[in-house]
Amino acid sequence: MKEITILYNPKKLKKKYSASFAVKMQDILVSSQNTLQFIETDDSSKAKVKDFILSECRDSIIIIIGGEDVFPFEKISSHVDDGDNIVCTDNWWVSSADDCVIPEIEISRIPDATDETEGSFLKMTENLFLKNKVRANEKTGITAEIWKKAADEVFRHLKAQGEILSSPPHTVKSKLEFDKFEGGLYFNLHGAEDESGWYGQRAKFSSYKEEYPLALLPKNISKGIKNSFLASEACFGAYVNNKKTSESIMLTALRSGVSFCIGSTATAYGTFAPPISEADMLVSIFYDEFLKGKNASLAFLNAKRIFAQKNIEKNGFLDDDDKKTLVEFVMYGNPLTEVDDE
Amino acid sequence: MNRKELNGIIENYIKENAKEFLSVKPIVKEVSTDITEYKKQLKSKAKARREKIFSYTFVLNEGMFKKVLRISVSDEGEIIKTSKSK
Repeated sequence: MKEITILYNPKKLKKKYSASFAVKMQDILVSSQNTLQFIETDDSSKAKVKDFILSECRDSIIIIIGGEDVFPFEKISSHVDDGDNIVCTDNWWVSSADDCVIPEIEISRIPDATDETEGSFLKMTENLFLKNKVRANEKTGITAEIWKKAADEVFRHLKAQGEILSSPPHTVKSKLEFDKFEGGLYFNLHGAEDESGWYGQRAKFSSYKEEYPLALLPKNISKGIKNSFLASEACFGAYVNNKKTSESIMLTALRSGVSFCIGSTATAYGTFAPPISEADMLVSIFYDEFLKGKNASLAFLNAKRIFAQKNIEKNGFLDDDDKKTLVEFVMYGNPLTEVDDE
Repeated sequence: MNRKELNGIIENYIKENAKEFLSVKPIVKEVSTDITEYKKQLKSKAKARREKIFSYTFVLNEGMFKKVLRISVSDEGEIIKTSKSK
C-alpha cells in the first residue's frame, strides 16, 4: 500500500474554517488505511517542503488539501502566447526541473469552493475516500459537434458501453439524466474562466444555427451518478478559483458520485480530427493507463510522462502547447481510485 | 528557408484551412528544440531535431470564446503540427 503525503496550510485552514479543522481532516484521511504523513507548509517553507517531497516522498502519493483560498496553486507563465496571463499548476510540487513540465510523483488535490463550510468540506472528503473503486463498464459524454471526430477517437479508449452526445444538437434544454450512471464521463467542450457551464460548437458545415450552445451546467451532474470518474478537455474546465460549488462542474461532480476529475486550469488545445494531440492525446493515454488497473494518480502521472515521451520521439522536441498541456492539467479527488473489476 | 518564405507557407495554410484568422497578425517565436533535460527525466533516447522550429500563434478575440490557432513549422517549411484552443 502506498504512503500518502498530505500537504496543507494550517494558517489558511484555520482562517477559513477553524483551529480544529486540520485535526478533523486528519481523522478522516486516517480512515483510508494507508500510511499517512501530514506536512504543514506556507509561502515561507514551500521550497523546503518541495525539496523534501522530491528527495523523501518519491514513492508517495501527494494530496493537497483545499483550493486557491487555503492552498493556492503555483502560478507559472503560459508557454503559449495565447492571452492567458498565468497558468495554475500542481506540477511544481512534483517536478525537479525549473519548468515543471514533467512530473515525477503522483499528485492530486481536494479543492474546496468559496462557499464551502467546514462541515461540507469534511463531508465531501469523507465521501471521496469511503471507497477506492469506480465502475468502468459504462461511459457517456458530450462533445462539441466541431470536434466530434477527435472526441470519438478519445472516447474509443474508454472501453465501455455508451454513447457520446454531440452539441449541437444537444443543449442544456435537452433531457439529460444520469440516473444510476456508474462509469466514465468524458467532455470535449468549450469553457472559459468566468463561465460555470461548458459549451458546444457547431461544425463548419452544420445545419444547426447556434454557434456555441450551452451544453452542460453543474446542476446537470448533481444527481444520479455514483462510482464514476470524469475527464474534461474544456478550457478552464478545472479552474475552480473564486468559484462556488454551484458555479463549477468539477466542484459539483466531486460531491455527486464522481471520485476524481481531470481537467485543465487554462486554455487547452487539441485538433478537430485524428491524429489526436495535446488534450485529446493526454486523456486517451490516461484512459489506457487507468483501465490497465493503475490507481488514478499513477495513471495520470504515467499519462503525462508517456505523452511527453511520445511527443519528443515523434517530433524531436516538445512544442509549447504540449508543455502547456502538461502543466495545466490537474487531478482533483481520490487518487487511490481504481477500476472495480467485479 | 528565410522568414519571408515561411510566412508565405503559413499564409497559404491559413487561406486554405482557417480563413477566420486571415486578418490576425501571428506571434512568431522560435521553439526550443533542446530536449536534453527531458530525455534525462524520461530516460528517453529520442533524437533532437536539427532544424530550427518556429511557432505561429494566432489569437482571435471575437465572439464568445477566444480562438487560438497554433502552427509549428520547421525552417525547411515542413508544417509539423497544428492545434486549436478548446
